[in-house]
Amino acid sequence: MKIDAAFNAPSAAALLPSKPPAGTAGAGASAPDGSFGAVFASMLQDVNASLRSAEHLSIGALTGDVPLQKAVEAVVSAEQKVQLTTAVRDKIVAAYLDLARMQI
Amino acid sequence: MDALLSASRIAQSGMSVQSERLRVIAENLANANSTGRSSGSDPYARKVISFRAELEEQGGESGIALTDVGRDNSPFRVVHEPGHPAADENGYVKYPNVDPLIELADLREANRSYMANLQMIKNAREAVSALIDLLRTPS
Repeated sequence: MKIDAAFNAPSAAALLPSKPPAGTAGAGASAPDGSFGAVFASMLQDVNASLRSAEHLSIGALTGDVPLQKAVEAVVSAEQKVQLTTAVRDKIVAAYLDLARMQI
Repeated sequence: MDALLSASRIAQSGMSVQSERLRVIAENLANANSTGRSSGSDPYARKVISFRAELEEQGGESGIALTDVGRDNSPFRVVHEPGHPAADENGYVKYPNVDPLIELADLREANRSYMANLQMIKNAREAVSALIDLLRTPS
């Protein structure tokens, strides 16, 4: 059942940020096996990688090694990815709560 | 790659190039009166910047890249100033071929182009945010 995967997802995803980010941003943005947990996990990895690269570039911009435009662009795109991820998460949590409140 | 994200990345390459252009204009303006050091030597030559469209490997999108910062080959301005340390034996001093008016017009153009690219990024960002907001609206 698909919903089971959704229920299991948060616990699996909570472990992810401690792992090293997988390569470059955008790697494996859509998991082929299609379970929500896997898709969300790869989404989180992607977000984590782009947040790290944004942080790296921001520090580079402060020291003058990286052009300011590049740093700003990285931060903005990371921000958008975070927005998208939280929006998807909120949607799933809302669906879960809807099911939990269902009258039996 | 998402088209809106590519759009803002292309605009970002435009902004980088325009800021290089501003740097070259600043050099030209700052050196508008730099003469040579020894008698009869050439002064600062105006720098000219040129760009090219740069095709990115994956998406086939055209960004922009700096091609070259070259020198303007037009003749130098010659002024009769016998007392100047850089004057040649006839008392003529070569001044740079920089016209501040032209540099200022160029500056304005670079500035406007930068702002246009910035506006592009702003619009792409708004479009993406509005799209994500669709997920947030309670159904």
